[in-house]
Amino acid sequence: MLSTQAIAMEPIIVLKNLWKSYSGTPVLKGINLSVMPGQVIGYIGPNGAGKSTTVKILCGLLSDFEGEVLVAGKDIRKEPLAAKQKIGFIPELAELYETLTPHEFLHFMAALYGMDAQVAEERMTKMLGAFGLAGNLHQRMDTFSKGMRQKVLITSGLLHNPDIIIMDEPLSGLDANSVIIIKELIGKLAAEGKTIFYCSHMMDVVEKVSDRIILINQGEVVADGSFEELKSQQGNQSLERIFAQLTASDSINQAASDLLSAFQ
Amino acid sequence: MPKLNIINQSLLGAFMLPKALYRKAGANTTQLRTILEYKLMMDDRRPNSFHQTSHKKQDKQISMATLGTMLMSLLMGLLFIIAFFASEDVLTCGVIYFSMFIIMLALTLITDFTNVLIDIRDNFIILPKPVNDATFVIARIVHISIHVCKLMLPMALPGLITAFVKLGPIAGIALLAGVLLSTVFTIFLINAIYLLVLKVSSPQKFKNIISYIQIVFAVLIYGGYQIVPRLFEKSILKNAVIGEAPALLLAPPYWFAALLKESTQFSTHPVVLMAAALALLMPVLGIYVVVRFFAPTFNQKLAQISGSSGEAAVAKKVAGNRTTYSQMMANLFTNKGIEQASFLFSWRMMLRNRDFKLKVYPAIGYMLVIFAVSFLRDNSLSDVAEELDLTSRKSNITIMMLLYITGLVSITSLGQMNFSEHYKAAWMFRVTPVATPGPILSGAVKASIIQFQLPAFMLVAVLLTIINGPMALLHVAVAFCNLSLMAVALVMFSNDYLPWSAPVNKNNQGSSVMKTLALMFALSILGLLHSLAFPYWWACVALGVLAGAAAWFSFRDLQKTGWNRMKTYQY
Repeated sequence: MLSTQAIAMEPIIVLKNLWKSYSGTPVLKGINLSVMPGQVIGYIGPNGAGKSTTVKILCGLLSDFEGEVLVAGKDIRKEPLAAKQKIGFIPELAELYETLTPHEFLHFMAALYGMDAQVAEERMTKMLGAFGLAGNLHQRMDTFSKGMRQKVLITSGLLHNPDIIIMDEPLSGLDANSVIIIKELIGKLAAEGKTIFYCSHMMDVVEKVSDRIILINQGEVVADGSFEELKSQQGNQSLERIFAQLTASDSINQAASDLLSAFQ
Repeated sequence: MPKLNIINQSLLGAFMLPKALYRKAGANTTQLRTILEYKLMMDDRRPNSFHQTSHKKQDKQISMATLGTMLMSLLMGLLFIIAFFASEDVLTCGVIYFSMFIIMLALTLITDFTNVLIDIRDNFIILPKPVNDATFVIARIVHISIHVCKLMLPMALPGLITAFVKLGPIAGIALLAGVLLSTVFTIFLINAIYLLVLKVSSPQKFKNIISYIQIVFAVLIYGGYQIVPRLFEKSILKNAVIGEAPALLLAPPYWFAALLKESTQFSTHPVVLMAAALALLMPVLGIYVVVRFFAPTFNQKLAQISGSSGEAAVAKKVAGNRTTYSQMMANLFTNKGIEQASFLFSWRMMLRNRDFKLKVYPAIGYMLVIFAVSFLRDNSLSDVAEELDLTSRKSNITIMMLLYITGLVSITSLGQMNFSEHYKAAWMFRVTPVATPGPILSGAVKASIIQFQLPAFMLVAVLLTIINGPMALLHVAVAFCNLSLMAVALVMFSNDYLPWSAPVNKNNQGSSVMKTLALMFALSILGLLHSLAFPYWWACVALGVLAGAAAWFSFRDLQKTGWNRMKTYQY
């Protein structure tokens, strides 16, 4: 069903031959990717694979790359503002100006997105209310737990009703109930036609929420497809196993034995 | 094995001498030594109260912090020598010396005592290991003692040498005893202050209160060093003799001074005798109170302070849509949208950011001290009024100073509002579709001017209007234009970070000193121009219009600042 939609629609994110080096060392080596509206992309890879570099480029935080990046048809380097307007970014346990209250912080974010204050006020009240933080709206965030902060960050990324939502480990610090809320939210957002770009290490969540999984290793895409497709290619096993099979150079079992052998 | 510098090595050696005693108390001395070695090594890498900056990874690694601390203490100790030349009377000298000693020691200890007193990492690192309670408690006590010694010994040394040379060896020994006893007493005092503050406030507010204490102390010290020498000039102090009033028994420095007095010229005056007895008794009593009553609840309370979040966030209701002063100012002075949002953001950050307040509020205090000093020459209120009378000869310089010194606070606040320990939060400026950072900058500058410059000017304006009538407002307006121009210029030429986006970094302090000097120069030029125009109202109007126009256009320029000029942390 997705493929018929794909023909009808323009891709909302396009990465063409994306290269990026940090002081001579290539981190991304020619990533090619096009994402259709309404897709939930699970973007996974081991530490240092280039996940967060991709995210930074997509959000317009890094501009010294080679290749082409189109977000909602806009070149991220030529029209960064139009592209950023379409994107909602939910960083992983990012720092906040924690002496502000969520109310003040979210209004500031809204102003930076050029939103109407009244609209922002209504949305933030509803969204934080749904997260159970209605009573904390006017309380400084320095007393907040990790999970409460993450909920504020999620709200800040969704507040301007973006078409594309880029999430970098959005579940960090959240308790089990909040994780369920986010997982359902991702499904509902996708049903509304929003595109989700979900970066994570948590294979079990990626396995469940994504309709397309992209596995990168050492700056290259090593697998791309739905979980079912990956299973049929790599043998019927969990995503965790497929991940290990495609990215670990040596057997993982060997590492555990090596660790144990230190006692001998 | 951790490598310790010679000072830590020898202090540790000295404190490990009563090994048998520790063993008798139940401590494992091998573990004790190891714990202390690592704690001292870590102390050496921790920025101390004299650096006042947060420790970020990319900063140059701190080693030898101990030597730096000791050197600063020594410098302070050198200033205390002045006490021995303040008066012919030994008792008076002693009171001045011990007042300075106790206040300075308390100040330096208050700023970083919590870090030493309780290290919450102990809970994760030492407690789960097979280390018994006695070892743990003794390690903590010895560690605190070593820390205090490192501050106290160099601070006391210059005074001790002076006493030896000037008053003889017996006085020197008496002073040493006094210094040791007063140190013990100071520790008791700090414990009491901590406990009192914790009683009346939550652990969250504790750090804020401690930083307010630091600010007040900083201003007191500055004021002290500014005003005391002037009192000397007026020879108020030279002939002063503290005397033997019984009320003096309430002042701790008097007790220790009495000890010094008794060692040089034995006095049988009951008050002096009593004071000397208190000097011996009170520290012992203090230690008893600390150990017996303070310590048990104290450690728990302190653990809360250092903890990441002491108490769970409690939901609270806040009254809804009332228009606040800041919102009113924002509506009046800023454009709707990003500039206004940035104004409110910086306004709140300035009010809430502890580091910012620690750097800027003392400047307000210094300003007040400078005012006080400049009016100290006058003998009566009518003299003061004459200095502020536009028609009098003297008024030009005094009024200029009154108006332009307020610029110091602006310079400090604009310089400091770039820095934040949460500078990484600046990712939000980069992911949002902000066309130019200009409105963010101009909003912040306006917030600083309106929060700090405006109230100071209002005060001066009221004062001058009372004395001179509305004509004085012309000068206030001219100075306001000049200072606003300078504020914009400062941000345009020197700030390459967005507000609250730069890491607190002591490596660039050198350049900021240069910047401040350059600005002081610019400020004096503007002040000089105003001063030259002072006698002619039309010249003042012209200057005001020129400066105002320049400020206006600079603001517009600032609002067009491009991203290419700004550095920001990028997530």
